[in-house]
Amino acid sequence: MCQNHHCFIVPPHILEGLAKRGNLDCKRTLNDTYRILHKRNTALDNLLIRELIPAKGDRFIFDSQNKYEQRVLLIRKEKDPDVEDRTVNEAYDTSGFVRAYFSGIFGLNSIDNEGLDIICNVHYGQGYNNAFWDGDEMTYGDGDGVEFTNFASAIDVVAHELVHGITQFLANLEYQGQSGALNEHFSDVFGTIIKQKYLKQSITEADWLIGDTVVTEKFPGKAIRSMKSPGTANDFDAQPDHMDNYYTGMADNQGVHINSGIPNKAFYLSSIELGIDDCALIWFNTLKKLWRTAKFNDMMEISVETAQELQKQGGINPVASKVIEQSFAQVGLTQVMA
Amino acid sequence: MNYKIRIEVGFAGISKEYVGEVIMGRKEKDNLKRVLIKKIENTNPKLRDGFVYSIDLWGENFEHRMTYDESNLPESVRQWIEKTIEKSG
Repeated sequence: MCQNHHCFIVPPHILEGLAKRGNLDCKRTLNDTYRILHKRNTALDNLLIRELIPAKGDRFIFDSQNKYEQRVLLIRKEKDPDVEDRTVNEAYDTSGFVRAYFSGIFGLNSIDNEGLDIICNVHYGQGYNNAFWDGDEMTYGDGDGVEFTNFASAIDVVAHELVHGITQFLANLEYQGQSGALNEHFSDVFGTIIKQKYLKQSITEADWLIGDTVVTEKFPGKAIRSMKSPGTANDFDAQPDHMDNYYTGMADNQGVHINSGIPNKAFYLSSIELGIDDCALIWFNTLKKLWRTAKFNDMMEISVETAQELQKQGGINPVASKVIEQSFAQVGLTQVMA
Repeated sequence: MNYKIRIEVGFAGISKEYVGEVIMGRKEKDNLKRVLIKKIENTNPKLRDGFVYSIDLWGENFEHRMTYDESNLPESVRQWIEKTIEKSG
C-alpha cells in the first residue's frame, strides 16, 4: 500500500488498530516506519548542512548571538567549566539535571536512549518570546523583557522542550488534535515533576505552575499554565479541566496547548493521591506504550493497564490503577465497557 | 496595503494578531511580494512549540495569504513582520 510515496506491507490503519489492542510490535513498527521515513528524507540534508558530532549524550550550548539561527557559536560543551554568560550556564545546568533525572529514574540514555547529544541554542533572535524543540535540538529566546524573560533559565521550560524530544523517540505523538495535546501533556507532566525535584519540593509545597519564572510582572498572569487549575494561569489561559469544555476549534493545531489541560488535571489529581514518583513511573511507562495517533481514551486505558502491571510487580501503590481511573473520570474520561 | 499578521502556537500557546495598513515603497513592496509568492519548502514536521506565522496582505490588485513555521520563515519576511508590528505600536 502506498500513500504519498510511502509504502507499507500492512496498511497503517491496521497497524494502528492492532497497536490500540496492545500489540507492542505493531506500535513499534508504526512508529519506526514514520521515523525511518523522516530520517531517510532528512539524512542527506543534515549531512550537507551540519557538522557531525559524536553522540555521547553530551551537552553543547550554542549562542545564537541574537540572530534567528542555530549553532552559531559554541560557548560551552560537556565538562567545560562555567563561562561568563549566565544564560549559557543555566541552559547547561538545567539540561544536565533533566538528563540525570531520566537516566537515574528510568535508565534512559539521553533523549533517544541512544546517547543523542543535547544541543541547546540560547539568545535566539531579538526579544524572542519562545522556546522550541525542532526534532534535533532545543532553542531558547531571551524574551522581550516586557512580558517574558529568559526561557533557558527555567527548569520546567527546559524539561518541557527536552521531553518533546523524548516523546518523539518513544511514541512519536502526532502534533495535532488529541495526540498533539497528549504530546504537550507529557512535556508538562515531566516539566512539573522535574521542577519539583529541582526545587526539592513536596507535592503540597509545589505550585504546579508551568512557566512561572519566564513571565514578568507586566504579564497578565502568574504563569503559562497550571496543572492544578487549568484555565487560571493567566488572562489568555483557555485550558479546560474537563471534557465538557473540550476545545473544538482549529487554532493551535486544534488546541494542542489548550486541551492538554484535561489530562494535566488528571495527572495532578492522581499525584495528590499517589505521590509524584509512582505517577512518574506510570506516566513514563504509558508513554512508551502509546502510538502516533493515540487519543485521550487510549491514554487513559493504557495508563490504567500500566498501573495494574506495575502493581502486580509490587513497585507502586496497590490502589494506583483505581486512583488513576477515578482521576480520569473526574475530568470526564471513563472507560468504555466492552 | 492592508495586513493581518497572526502568530500562534509557541510554548505559551498564546496567539497574537496584528491588523492594520502599512505604507510601503514600490521596491519594498515588490521585494516582499516576490518572497511571499515563492513556494514554501523544508517544512519541519518534528517542530514542537514553534511559532506559526500567518500573513494576509490585500489591496492595490494584490491579495495574498501565506503561512510559515519557525523552520521556513524567510529572513526578509521575519524582518518585515517585526518592523510592521513595531510600527503598529
